[in-house]
Amino acid sequence: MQGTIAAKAPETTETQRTNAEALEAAFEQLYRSSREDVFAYVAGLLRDRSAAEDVTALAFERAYRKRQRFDSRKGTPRAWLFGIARNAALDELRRRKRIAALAADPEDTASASLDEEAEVALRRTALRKAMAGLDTRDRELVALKFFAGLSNAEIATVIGLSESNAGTKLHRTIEKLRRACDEAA
Amino acid sequence: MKLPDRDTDAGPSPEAERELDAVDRLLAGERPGAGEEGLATLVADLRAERPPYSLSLEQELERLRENSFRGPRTGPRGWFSGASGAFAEGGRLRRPGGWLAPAGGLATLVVVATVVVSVADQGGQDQTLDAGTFLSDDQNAKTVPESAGGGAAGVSGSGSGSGSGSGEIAPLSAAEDSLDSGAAGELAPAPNTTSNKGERTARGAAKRQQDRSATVSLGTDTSKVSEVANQVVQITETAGGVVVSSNSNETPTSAVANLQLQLPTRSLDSTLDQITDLANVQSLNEAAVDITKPFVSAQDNLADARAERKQLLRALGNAKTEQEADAIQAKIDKARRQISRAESRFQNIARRARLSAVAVNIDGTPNGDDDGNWSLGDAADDALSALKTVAGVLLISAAILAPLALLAIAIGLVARAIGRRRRESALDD
Repeated sequence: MQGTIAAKAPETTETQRTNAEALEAAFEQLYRSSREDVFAYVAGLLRDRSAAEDVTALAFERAYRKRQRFDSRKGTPRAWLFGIARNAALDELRRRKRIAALAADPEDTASASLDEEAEVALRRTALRKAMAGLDTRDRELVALKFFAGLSNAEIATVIGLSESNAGTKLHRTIEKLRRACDEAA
Repeated sequence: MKLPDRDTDAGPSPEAERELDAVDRLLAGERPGAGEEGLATLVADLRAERPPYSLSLEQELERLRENSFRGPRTGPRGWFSGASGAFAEGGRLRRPGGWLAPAGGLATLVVVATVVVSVADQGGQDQTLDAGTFLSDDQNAKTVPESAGGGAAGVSGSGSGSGSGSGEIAPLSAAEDSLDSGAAGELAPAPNTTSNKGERTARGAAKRQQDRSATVSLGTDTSKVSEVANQVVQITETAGGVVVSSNSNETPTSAVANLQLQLPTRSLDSTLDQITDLANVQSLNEAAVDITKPFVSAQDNLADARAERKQLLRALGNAKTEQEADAIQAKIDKARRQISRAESRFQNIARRARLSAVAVNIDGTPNGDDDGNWSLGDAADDALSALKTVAGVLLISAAILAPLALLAIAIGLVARAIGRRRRESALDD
């Protein structure tokens, strides 16, 4: 994307076509580079694969529809895309009210445990327990940072906080996880 | 719009910053540094917990992408159909407003040309109407029949004439013909002589005695009626005339002044020129009646009466008897009375020839000083007036819309904040 989405003043028809094609290509690139991260983030937040797939598709649809409104001054294309995905995920959370009721995906948990050595399995189990104990906001930070791989600046843009405050919150969440894992060990 | 930070700390501590940097490095695949083994394990475990991206989801997304990312110009409109509203056929961005500028310019030119042509036509019509009005007034002007000399022998004051209505100067030869062909001792009416400025003087008028009169209607702005009336008085006095009567009536919305003048006939034309220059001439009617014959008749009667008296005085000196002297004296007395009557008649008709009665009506209306012709100044006034109107409309619109817009903005901001808070509330456990 690299800010090309924000091109709003094409001078000529040829320029318009070029801009449109560049816009399409940029969005294609963003889609290819971010689709797995978007799904991982949404799934980590919703903890429901089926709902995460729907929300991921919805997020890309919304992003495509709004692609001409992207403003590079407000953040990177990834941050913009994750902001859209977050809104879609939060809408889904509100609609379905499944935050507290949902548990971690049992299928993934089981498959991960079977193949791991005992120590690793214990550690992962403790981590999942710790993550389950996190509130949704902290779990969102984990999803954005460790599942989607966003930088702290991008996380700040997505959740609407300053970068330093986002960093502070992220560090506190890591501390919580670390303490919970230590206690479980 | 960013939500206010709930934590107002100044940022992560130095130790936290180091750990966050380490997390970034570990996520980037770097080896853990000294003392970072525990953090590295946590990061690795967290990465391992990342939900896997399934093949079915990828296929589904790809199918959707193919229906949309290719765009409406090459493929069917599908999942993202609403996203391509700005695209026209052929993949070109459509600019609905692209043709507006030339179209607007063309429309402006057409409007301006129409206005110019319309105004030009209107100006021509105005002039025609003016001429028509002038002709109509001329035709309505009645020639005052000469009856002043009715007492003279053979002169009767009957009959009325009508103007020629041609708007041109009626040559006095016609009046002469009329006089010549008329019955003996009967004064034929002379045709009206109504004309434009500089053409008022009928040919041959210098040889003839005329009773001239004029009625001038002037239009001006309400506030200028008094000023114009004063100027008329000044012009009259300068020309050696007199203001017989004057009256004026002023109301907040209109003003009228009427003046009856007696102007020297020899300078009537120039004086009328000065008066008509004071304001817009709404109408100008002039009439001229040839009074040469009654003038001459009165003059002759006076001369005859004086000659008779002189002859009687001479006869009185030659009278031989007292009886004869008394009879002559009685005739002298009679002749004296005849002289007196003849003098009076002659002075009356001479005064009519020397002075012309002029009625000046000044009608004041708002903007009454507009002469009806569209000039550059009028265009500027019209433009200013239009700008004032537009500014007024804009001001009123702004007065109405500004608070509404502010209210709408405030409502929009509040609604957005509420919506965001509601959405964020989904994160609250």
